[in-house]
Amino acid sequence: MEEYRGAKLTIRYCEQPPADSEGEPWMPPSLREALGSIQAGKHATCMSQLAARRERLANTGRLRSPDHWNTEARLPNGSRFYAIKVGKLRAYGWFSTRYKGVFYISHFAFKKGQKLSSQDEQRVINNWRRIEEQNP
Amino acid sequence: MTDFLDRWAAESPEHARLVAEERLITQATEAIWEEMEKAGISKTELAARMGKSKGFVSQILNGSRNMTLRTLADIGFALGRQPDIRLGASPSDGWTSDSAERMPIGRPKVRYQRTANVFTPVDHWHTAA
Repeated sequence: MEEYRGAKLTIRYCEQPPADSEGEPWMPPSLREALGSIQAGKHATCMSQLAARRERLANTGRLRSPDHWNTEARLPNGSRFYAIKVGKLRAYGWFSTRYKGVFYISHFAFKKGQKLSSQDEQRVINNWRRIEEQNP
Repeated sequence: MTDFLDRWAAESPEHARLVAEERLITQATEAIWEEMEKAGISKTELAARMGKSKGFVSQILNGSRNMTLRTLADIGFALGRQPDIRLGASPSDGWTSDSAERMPIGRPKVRYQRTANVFTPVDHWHTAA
């Protein structure tokens, strides 16, 4: 399973590589798509900042800087979902109540406007329902 | 367990170096924000205490302006805190994370180079140690 374990949290991705891709280079398709909106010369900086911020989140359980972290809209159970921020790149996710100590990353997106897009919000909610309510 | 970001970092020394840079920047800015939260200090207040503009502090905290050691010391002074600098082992130093199927089992062969009567491991020095 594609996940990162830190001292406080496990970061788990809703997007997982196909079962037959063992050993092949893979990144979440939504991240690949989001990077398509960013200059190629800045991809390495984005990836390294993302790596450092997800590591910090996993090891301390939270990110404090508003340049690294944002509280987003509500989930169906009334709690909030969040975003790890890297410039205009977002990794949307939530703290799982079903799996203790897991922060799920729903998907990545390049944020075009000021506001959270309704597609991104709906995609997080769909993934939340699949993980928290449906999957055994 | 590892993820695609760890694999990306392991692809080349340049990627690993970039992640190391960003790790330190993230640690520094998060530590500053933690102290600001504890003390109930805003960016505006921090800027005033440092005799700098709010824009300067914003750029330092969002990483768009390089934070010099002098600026870090000034921020610490403004917050009444002393930065604690240590050079520890790299997080991945001596550790490898991968799926069990792909992990080699057994001790790797260690090569040594000899200088007079001193033998120094050329590679796999963790194993040699």
